[in-house]
Amino acid sequence: MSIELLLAAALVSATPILYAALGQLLIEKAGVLNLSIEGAMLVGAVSGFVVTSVSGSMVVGLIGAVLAGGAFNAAFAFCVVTLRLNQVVTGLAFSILGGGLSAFIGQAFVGKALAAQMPDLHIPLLADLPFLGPVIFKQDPLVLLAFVLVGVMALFLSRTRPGLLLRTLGESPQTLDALGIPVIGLRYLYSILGGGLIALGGAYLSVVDTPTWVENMTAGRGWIALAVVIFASWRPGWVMVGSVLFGLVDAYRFRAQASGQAFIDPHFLNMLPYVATLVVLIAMSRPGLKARLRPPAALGLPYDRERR
Amino acid sequence: MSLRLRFEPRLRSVGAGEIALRIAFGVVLALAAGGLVIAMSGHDPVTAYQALFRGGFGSRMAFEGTLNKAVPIGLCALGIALASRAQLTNIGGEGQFYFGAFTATAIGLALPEATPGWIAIPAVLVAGIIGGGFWALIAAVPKALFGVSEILSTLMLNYICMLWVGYLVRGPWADPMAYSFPYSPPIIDNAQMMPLFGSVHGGLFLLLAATLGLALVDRGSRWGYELRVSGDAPEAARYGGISATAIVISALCFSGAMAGLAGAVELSTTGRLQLGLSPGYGFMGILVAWLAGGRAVPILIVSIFYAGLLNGGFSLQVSRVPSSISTILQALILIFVLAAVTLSQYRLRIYRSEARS
Amino acid sequence: MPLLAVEDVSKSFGDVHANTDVSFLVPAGSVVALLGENGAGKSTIMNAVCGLYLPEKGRIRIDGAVVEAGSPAAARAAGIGMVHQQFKLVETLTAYENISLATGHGRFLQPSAPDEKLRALMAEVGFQVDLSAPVWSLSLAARQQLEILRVLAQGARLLILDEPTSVLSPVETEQLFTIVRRIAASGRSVILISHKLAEIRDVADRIVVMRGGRVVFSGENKGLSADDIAELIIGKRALRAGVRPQAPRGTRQLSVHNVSIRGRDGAPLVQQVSFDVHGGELVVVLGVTGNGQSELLDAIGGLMAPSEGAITAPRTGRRRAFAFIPARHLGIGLAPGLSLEDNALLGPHRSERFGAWLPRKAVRAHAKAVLETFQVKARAQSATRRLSGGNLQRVVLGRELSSSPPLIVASYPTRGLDIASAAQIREALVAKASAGAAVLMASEELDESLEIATRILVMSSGRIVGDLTPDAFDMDVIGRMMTAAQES
Repeated sequence: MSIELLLAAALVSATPILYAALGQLLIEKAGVLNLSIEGAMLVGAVSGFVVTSVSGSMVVGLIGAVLAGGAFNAAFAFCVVTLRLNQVVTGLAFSILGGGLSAFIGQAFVGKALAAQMPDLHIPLLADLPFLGPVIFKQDPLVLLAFVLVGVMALFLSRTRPGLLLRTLGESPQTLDALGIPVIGLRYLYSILGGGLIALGGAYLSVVDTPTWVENMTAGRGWIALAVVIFASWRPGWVMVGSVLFGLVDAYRFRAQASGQAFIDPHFLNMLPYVATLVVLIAMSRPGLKARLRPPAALGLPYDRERR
Repeated sequence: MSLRLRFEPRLRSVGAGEIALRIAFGVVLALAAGGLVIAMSGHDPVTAYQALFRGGFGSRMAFEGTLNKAVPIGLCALGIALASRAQLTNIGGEGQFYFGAFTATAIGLALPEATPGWIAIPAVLVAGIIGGGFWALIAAVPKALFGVSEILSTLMLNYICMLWVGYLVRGPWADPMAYSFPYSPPIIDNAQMMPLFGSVHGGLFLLLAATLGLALVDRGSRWGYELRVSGDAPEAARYGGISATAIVISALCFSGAMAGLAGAVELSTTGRLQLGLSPGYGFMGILVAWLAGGRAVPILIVSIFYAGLLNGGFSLQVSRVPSSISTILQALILIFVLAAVTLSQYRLRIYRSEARS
Repeated sequence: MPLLAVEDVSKSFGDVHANTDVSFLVPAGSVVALLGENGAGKSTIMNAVCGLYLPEKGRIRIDGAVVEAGSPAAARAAGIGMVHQQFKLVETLTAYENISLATGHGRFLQPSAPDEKLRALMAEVGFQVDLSAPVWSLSLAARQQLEILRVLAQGARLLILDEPTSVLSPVETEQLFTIVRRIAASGRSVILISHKLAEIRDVADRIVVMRGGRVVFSGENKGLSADDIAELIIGKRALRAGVRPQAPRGTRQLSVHNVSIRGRDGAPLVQQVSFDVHGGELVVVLGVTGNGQSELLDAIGGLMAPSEGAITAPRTGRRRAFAFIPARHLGIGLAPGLSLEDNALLGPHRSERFGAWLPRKAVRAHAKAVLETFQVKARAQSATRRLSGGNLQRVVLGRELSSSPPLIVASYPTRGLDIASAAQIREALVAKASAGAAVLMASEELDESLEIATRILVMSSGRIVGDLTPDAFDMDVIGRMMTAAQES
């Protein structure tokens, strides 16, 4: 098995996680604890698949998935931002809701195949590069887009004023409120944007990667994306690292299973993201550690001007 | 001029009657929304709901199945409600359930075949309690010592435990006689709980006892009192001589122990460790605990209601309505009821005013 | 024309007249010290100037133009900026990002380094803050400088500093005053709200003294002695006849030996304090807020640990076996979300009267007794957070005194209470001491202390600067001790 092929497969495995984790990052940076992620991903997967097979166009299908994810999270935001329902319980309920809805909608599409297939990129020159060519530039465009998005989001957060406002939103919404910046509106905005990205991650699985629809096909990738965001301490660069590590584990597991030889049982490999996240979570909570590695201070707390 | 909508807290508290009304309103809205989904898929909502009801409560057999399913849901929910007394959010019920089932299996496999039932069944159940408590302890200690969010850590522990059980039933504990189904070998016969009346097994009494237990903890135990104080005001608890560490660890461990007991009960009634042991009882427990407002007796009632939804979902297939409608309803009911109850604590006010900065 | 003119401002809260016809001027380029005891009305008038309060009467003018009352935005636009005691900075952002949150409206790209204008401002005033450092890594003094810089960068010409020296060491205070002088030299004006007289005298051009909601002096700092100012602040008041506890001195109940306490950032809050309290004594730790009294009493009550020294008080095992009334009721002394009945049990629930089971009858009887001790007229089942301050204090006192403790430690037991409630609580403490208990209380009120104490310990800057018995009680002497800054 060549190392290039393994890496290329790892990036493909990492892509849906990366989209979902970047979406989750936006939402959590805004101070909303989004436990509905698995549900939004499934909604994205099913709507992407259904719209693609009805319209015959992958691009339309992916756009449909993003819109569906945005709408799903808008409903979630209405519950937790406007009605200020408990974010943990409402998030879990939405996760269950997304699972049920996707199974319901997708029932007629189980086992069907898509006519269209996403062509791989073939960027002249770059694709012919040794090693990097097959790993990075001979992939479908959505893989590349995910990694470009990491850079965009990192720059957005660190170098733009809206990014600064977003970082403040999850830390100290009252500061923004005092400056006359709408806290509620921004939380809606980022919940919807994040929902769109999470759904895109799901749609990547059903439309591009497999491409097929199976009930509950994300198989816990939403929770892994949630874990990756914590593992990364809410930094886009590290979200990418975490996603690629997961992709590597996944690709290795797949190869090992196919060849029938494995050093470690795949169950333990699958545990890695969760164990690593748990370790990071505990390590980051030690007193005296850098405050910027902690969760956003207002994460999970509804904002209510009167109840400060 | 701008129009603004705002939710403002009501000054007077809302009576129990009004809350009950809101809950009913929420359930009706959820059923209506679910009906809309069914209708859009080309089925008749009335037939579907009839089938759902029949499958959950329509016959003696259906009701007995529902009662059996209410046991794990209710036990998990009681545990979650217990932790919530100290403002702890345990969403690791699923993992604690499976770890309890795992430890129970270990005992159930290890006991000599001749062990009498009055030793074997309690041994399996106690093993489940200890297992669930231990799995919660892994989240409780970092919470007590460093303030690690128990929401995130218990969530992670869910998946670790499910993969662990998956490893066991496909690896070291795989039953060679089970035709490559991922099952463990059966535990000894005497450790398996048998139906007591109809198909209802003894787990129902455990659920009733646990409900009574939570009610007693709330009503007048010193521990329950200390849970409430440290949940409401941690600094006041410290002032009153209550150890925050002890409270966090005891609350989370007992919470996990309840889920572990649920796992042991399910194991003892099915006989084999397997991944399908829970269709998400740990998560349903969270929804049930919140719907019931965390109080013991309402949890008992709501868990029977949810078990009926779950049970009825299986029989929906017969009327060709996708069974996922039951899942959708589980979520919708929670969302609508929570929204309705919350709205009753607020009132909507419309402001017509100049935009103020 | 003065930069700021406050004209006939009155503001009342219910029956309390916080400000009555307050008028004073702040000339451009001057430093004005606003002095007064707690409750003299300093914060109220400053909040009115900032637009946070809407006064019933009067006007605020900047450069002669009336500023719209009750509008923080209008005040900010007119060039008024206030630095509060509690800093309002976002800890995870860098110093510069905190400033640009307030100043960068309307741009998209976020520069990582300050622009020319801000650097010019920093150079002009002499700030020494590392703008690239995240706020959590900055010292309290640096954070304060950052707050000031932020307010100036927003275009403030009148800077109001609320108790700016309370978090600073003497060296840091000197640095702050250098900055304050340079701000004034740039043509802007500064109002310093303070209790600490000596420090302020060095830096202020003018002094405004408030007492009882009115301005009692407004004028040049020059030519006033410290004694003059202390007298202006405290006023001429007759010493009321004391109703002190009358009891023979009993056994030693509390011993505080060489206790020092450091804050979370390492700043010394209490330094080398030693004293004993005996049965029958009523000892008042008197001082202006923020001089270490509340920390000292919190350490005695077990809410914080002293960094040095030893505290000996009655204990059973590791638990406190004396009454402790913390300064904050809701959240520490009482759990706000629980019923009064539950709160009456907080602490006593571990006493030998109750076991692992708390019988409802005994709990009810206990709550009834606690509520009746000071005639709290509320149902035992009612929610604690809805009670008035006076009732909260009565519940805590009733509970803490229910077991006839040998020692009572009370942190500001009369703060924020109406006259009748305060008198009732003072009487109760005097009665307990007369009955042989040792009583230690913290107070910021001179009159009350002089009236009931058998001994007064005056605290300033974390040290005990005076230890007086009733024969040496003198309002002027103690007033000067309270307001004097520590010689350094």
